[in-house]
Amino acid sequence: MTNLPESTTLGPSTSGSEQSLLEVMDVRTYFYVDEGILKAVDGISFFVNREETLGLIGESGCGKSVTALSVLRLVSSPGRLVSGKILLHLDGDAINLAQLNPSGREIRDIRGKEISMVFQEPMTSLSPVHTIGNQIREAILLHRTNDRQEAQDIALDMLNRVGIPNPTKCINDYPHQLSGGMRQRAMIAMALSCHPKLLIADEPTTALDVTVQAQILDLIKELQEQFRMAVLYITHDLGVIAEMCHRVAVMYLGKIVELGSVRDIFYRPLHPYTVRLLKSRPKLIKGSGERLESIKGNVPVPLDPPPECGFYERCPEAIEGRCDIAVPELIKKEDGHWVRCFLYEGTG
Amino acid sequence: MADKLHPAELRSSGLGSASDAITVKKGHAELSAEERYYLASQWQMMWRKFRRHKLAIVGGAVLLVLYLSAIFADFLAPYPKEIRFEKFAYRPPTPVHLFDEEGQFRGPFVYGTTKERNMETLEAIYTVDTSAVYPLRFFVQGEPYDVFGLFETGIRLFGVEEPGAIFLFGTDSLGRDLFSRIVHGARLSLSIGLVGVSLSFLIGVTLGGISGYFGGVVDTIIQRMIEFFMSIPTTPLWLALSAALPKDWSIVRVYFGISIILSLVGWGALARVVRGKFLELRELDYVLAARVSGVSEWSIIWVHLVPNFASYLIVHVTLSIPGMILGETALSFLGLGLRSPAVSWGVLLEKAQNIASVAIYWWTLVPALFVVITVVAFNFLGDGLRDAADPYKQ
Amino acid sequence: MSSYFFRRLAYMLVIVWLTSIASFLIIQLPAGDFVTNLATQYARSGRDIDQAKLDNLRRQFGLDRPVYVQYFHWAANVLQGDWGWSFRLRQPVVDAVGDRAGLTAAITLSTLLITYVVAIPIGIYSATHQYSIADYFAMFVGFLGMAMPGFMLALILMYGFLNAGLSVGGLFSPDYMRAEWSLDKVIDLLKHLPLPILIIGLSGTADLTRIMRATLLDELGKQYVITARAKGLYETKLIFKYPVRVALNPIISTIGFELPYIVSGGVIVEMVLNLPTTGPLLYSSLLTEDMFLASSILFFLCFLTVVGMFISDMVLVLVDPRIRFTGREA
Repeated sequence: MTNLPESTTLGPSTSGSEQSLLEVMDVRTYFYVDEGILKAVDGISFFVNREETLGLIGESGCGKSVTALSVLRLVSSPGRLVSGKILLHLDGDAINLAQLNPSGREIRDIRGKEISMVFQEPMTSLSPVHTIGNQIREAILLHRTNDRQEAQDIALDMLNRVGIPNPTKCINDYPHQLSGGMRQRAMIAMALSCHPKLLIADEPTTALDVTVQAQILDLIKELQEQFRMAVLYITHDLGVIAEMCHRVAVMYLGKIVELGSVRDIFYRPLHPYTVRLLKSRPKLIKGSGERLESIKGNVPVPLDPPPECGFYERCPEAIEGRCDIAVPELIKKEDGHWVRCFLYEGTG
Repeated sequence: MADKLHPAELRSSGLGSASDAITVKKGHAELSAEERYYLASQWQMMWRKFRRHKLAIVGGAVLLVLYLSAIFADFLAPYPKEIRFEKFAYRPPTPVHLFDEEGQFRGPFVYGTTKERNMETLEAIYTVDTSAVYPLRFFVQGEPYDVFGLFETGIRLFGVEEPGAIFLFGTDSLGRDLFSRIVHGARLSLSIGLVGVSLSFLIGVTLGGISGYFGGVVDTIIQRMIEFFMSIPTTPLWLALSAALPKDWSIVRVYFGISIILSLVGWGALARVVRGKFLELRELDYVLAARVSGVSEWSIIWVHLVPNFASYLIVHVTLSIPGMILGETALSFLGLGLRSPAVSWGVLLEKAQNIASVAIYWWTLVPALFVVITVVAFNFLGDGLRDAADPYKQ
Repeated sequence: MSSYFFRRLAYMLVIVWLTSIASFLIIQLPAGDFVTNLATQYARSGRDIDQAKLDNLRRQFGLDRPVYVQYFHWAANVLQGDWGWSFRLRQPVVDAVGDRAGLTAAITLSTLLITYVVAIPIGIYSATHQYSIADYFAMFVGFLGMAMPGFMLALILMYGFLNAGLSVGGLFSPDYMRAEWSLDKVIDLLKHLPLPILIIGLSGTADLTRIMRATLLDELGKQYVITARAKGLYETKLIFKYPVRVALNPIISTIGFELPYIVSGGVIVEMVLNLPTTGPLLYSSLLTEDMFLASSILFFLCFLTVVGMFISDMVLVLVDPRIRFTGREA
């Protein structure tokens, strides 16, 4: 059972719901290093509905990538998923991914097939000594078919769908022979080759040129509609969030501090961090001439963190005596909009 | 399901994907958090990382002890290296006792020995004579020696009164104290490595530098030379060259001859490293920036490039020394390197070639132990230095 | 592809030729020659020999001709299979060397093979099972290999064996030593090979294991391994298909470079163990300035190394053209 009090149960009711595909409940992933315990993910809760895009936004070091890896149980020593639930709703059943053996059969059946992932740097994310075709076919042969010819056909079809101009040549190329954008497209092809229900995209465009970035974003949007899949889009770029996402989760220091629809977050931000984040964007509006605002202080390292609100040191609205002695809970402020902040205590 | 933002909304909110204020903040945050890290100089960083490598520290300490022993050999050794005790040939190591037969504490001391002969086999039998007690004394007067040519003195670290004798590692066939000879031998064994490596270093850095920095035809030629030298098996070459050294050469000449021979083979690997580094570094932007600012080529090399791989050089040199030491030991062991009356660990081991004698007089192998310790210490030290020098390792 | 082959072949032949010159010249370096050596020996044993006889000998052996002439004669003869005459043993070099050359080659090649066959799996296991007992054992062996190169190990092992009462005999049991080659003799040889191979190959194996382990550890942390895992691949299969494959590249592409070290280490170990191979013979011929014998053996050892490196390179290129690109362009 979830250990969150009733008032903070997230989203539509859990099991058997038609909409909710993935429910992450109070997940904690800690890294046990020499210096202490690094609490990279410290009580994350969010949910992704079918066919929708959830954006996960936060700065470097806040734990976004670890969250993504935790979902697929890809976190390796000295990191460990310590507690929490990760419910994947498939065909009416709910599987708790958090309880599966990280190298066992069940999770391997899910990886690549029900949930796929694309990573930030396509050059290092693809094996340099195997052809694109080999790497794509591998996934297909693993989950969809045993027939090599069929796998080849599917691979070619996928390469076509992701907009690669010459699929029959590309399929025999090595990653270093392609441009950055093409590599990323190939990786997307690989991830989608088995029609997953959820695609986790971990900053897939950060390493690309701006123009290519736009193309890839369009591609993901298009494919999402085509394949009718949900997307968990991880980024630090507000612009991307605005363009891609239905709902947004704001992450800070291993916790979700605000969760809501994209309109909620952009027009009615609640958490001081979200507010500052939005304010610190330079605007391309004529005649603004305002000073660029920034958040004072630095992102702390979550090594043995004290029991206080993670944003306390940098929050202009911090309440001394409240925010520095306890961690706020995630509470529902209005329909579909949660916030984790003592400023809203008792107002949900 | 919540709606996404409409394109109109996107435009009016003035969001541009290229502008990422969070990135700006990110840069700011990075600097402050890692200020200390960046401000430390390269050498400070290296030292900090090095200190964590305990084995390297141990290695370094051991080497320090060994080299100091070599320098102060005369002081450390109870006897000069040539002195023979005919009565004490092939003695096993003298045990140092603290308690006498009655269990009384007497401080460190040794017993005398009496020698008898088994009349049938004519074998010499040594029995410990517990009545003859010779206390171990420190800072005793022994055979005089001169200190760096400055003055003479006879003070040695420890010793026993005559007719007692202390042979910590036993004696050889001529009754010479092995401990003293090992301590003296350290001088030649440990220094030849340094000399050889310096020569290798000079040749290697020069040729490698020229090759890497200037490129082109010069590079190709030097590269071929390196490849040629590296594909020749070293030991046969050493044997042949050592055999070529005239047998009437003085010890000093032989010493330098051996160092040159040893260094001839080692420079290839170093030249390769230097060349590789030069090739890699000279393309980097900061070299271009320096050139554009009008810095002279010479300055670029010495101020910008060399400090960057100086650490690699140090590591490489440290790890090459054991090879040289082993080389000299091997050559002397085979009779082709240093010879009597020169004393090095290899020369001492030459006597141990006869397996039969080694089986009985096992202590003649002790110099090998010192060689092993030295080699291991250098390797640990080099490993530690290498880890410390790697800028990407935490 | 074939142009690459011929270029390398031509280059190798040039090197072989250069080493032949070097081998010859190096032996010439010591002052005097075989005849002077002989004279000294006679003088030492108190016998008299007059100058005319010495001059005669010199002329007989062709030692009075200028160096380059001597070289050309020797080289020309070598190409025809005549490697010269051993003054000391009074027989053609080819006979004096006899089986030794082949045995040296056998030891060298088997050591090379065993080194890689042993080191790679241990390295892989070490990297994937960090901090396990097997890992510590591998590190200990690595330590041993680093601390005790060839002849040291040989010495200590010999001492140990002697104490244990075992024989440390060379490469054959007494029965087979002079026998003709037969299957039985080969089997006898195989029974005796492990010890020299162990001694010669230990440091190389230790080094290689360490490198394999480090390289693989590097690769295991890389992103493409996570990608592969994210696709749902089985862990063991994944490790061999991806990081091991990448890590093996630099290691296998430098297989040729091990050869000089093995030959080199082999010479000393052969001498300490007194095996019937080329090492001890080289040593004795150097001491007596038995010119042609020494040059021939020296040249043979260089030849073995250079040709071995060439062959291994070619085999590699055949097996995987990619290695040619990644392994060489340093």
